[in-house]
Amino acid sequence: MSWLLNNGLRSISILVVQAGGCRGCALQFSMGMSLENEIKGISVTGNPKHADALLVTGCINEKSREAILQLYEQMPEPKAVIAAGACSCSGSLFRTSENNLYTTEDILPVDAWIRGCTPDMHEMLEAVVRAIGASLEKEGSRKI
Amino acid sequence: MLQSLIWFLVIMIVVPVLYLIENFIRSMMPGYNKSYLLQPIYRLMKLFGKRGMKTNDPAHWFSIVSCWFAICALFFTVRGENILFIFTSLVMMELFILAGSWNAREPFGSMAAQRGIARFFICAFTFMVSAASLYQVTGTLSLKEMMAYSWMHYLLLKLPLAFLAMIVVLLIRGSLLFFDFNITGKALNILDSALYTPYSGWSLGITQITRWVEIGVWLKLISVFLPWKPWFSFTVLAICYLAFLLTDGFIPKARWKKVARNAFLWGGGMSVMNFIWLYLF
Repeated sequence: MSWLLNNGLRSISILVVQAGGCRGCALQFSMGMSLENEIKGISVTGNPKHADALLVTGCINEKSREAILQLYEQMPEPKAVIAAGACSCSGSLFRTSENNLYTTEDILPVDAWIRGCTPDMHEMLEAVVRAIGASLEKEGSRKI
Repeated sequence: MLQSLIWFLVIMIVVPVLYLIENFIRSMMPGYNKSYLLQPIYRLMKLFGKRGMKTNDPAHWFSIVSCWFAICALFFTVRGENILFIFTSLVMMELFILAGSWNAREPFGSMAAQRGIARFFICAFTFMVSAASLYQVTGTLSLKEMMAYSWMHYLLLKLPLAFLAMIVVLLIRGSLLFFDFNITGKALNILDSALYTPYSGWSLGITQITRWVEIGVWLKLISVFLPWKPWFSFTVLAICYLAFLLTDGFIPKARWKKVARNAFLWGGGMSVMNFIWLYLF
């Protein structure tokens, strides 16, 4: 079973959710994927059943919170959650607004935080690989 | 029997290899994310390492039956059996996929099944009319005899539109070019994805294998139209399919209802026109 799990690191499907905001983090992630880098095998999917990780960008409001929770429920285990960008990690400039905003940590168990506005594209890819690795390790120890 | 077995194994291998080549070429293109040579295989293996969703329990088992019928269809095709056996197996395969979708107790599953039924109607209609045209010309429903006829009498010259209609069916089944119903999980919008949404974990992996087997069946079936030796016709068609896979990335996608309309007009329309043409001339 462990060799099946190891394939997870060679094929990582990311479900990118733009909860709200400027979309800079999602664009940065797309750029990181398309430019030359040493990390292979990451792809973006639109289907939660294919996804290994949920990458949340932007400020989360009441409406997007429900959608994100639905998506998270539909993703099969093992799965990871990554908060990308200042808005998603801490609320950034909008944390004192009165719109009842959430950080990713408020609603989901986060495996990796990528801080910065906008975060470095290589850091994002590295964080994705590490978060998936951690979730696979967790799954492996659960099976043993 | 040995020849059929070799054909069976070759087709089982060729279709994943086509997807591997497509993935490799695409990853070499500028602007595409880099991937491993065996990326589609890793993606498939990964699915078997995942836990299935408990809420979709009956749906998982439908995928196994569906895969079984796809393998039966491939076996009948390589044996050159009656075309009705092949059609029935393909219909059963599709019905089980759809039944799994309906049983998934998920709104996305029902939406995907509705889309799948539209696709099923178009493909079944086109295939039935094309099969009737084949019978009209060759006087038999046996695939083996049709191959022999095609070799001697240039079937393609008598049924050019039926051949194109069958190519449209192949494109619909592969979700390629202008006939992509967006049900393979490639789309970036959740509402536009996935007949396969109800399936997860190992059942999604089996559904993926079913799809590869099915593409092999269609490639072998359509190669009957080409007036060359079976292996050469199959190779030509496989290379064409690879070209379709590669050009798919450069083709804009449409809403699924428009795709369904186009598919019905082109696939169904051309097969009917060829059928009428046979009666008139």
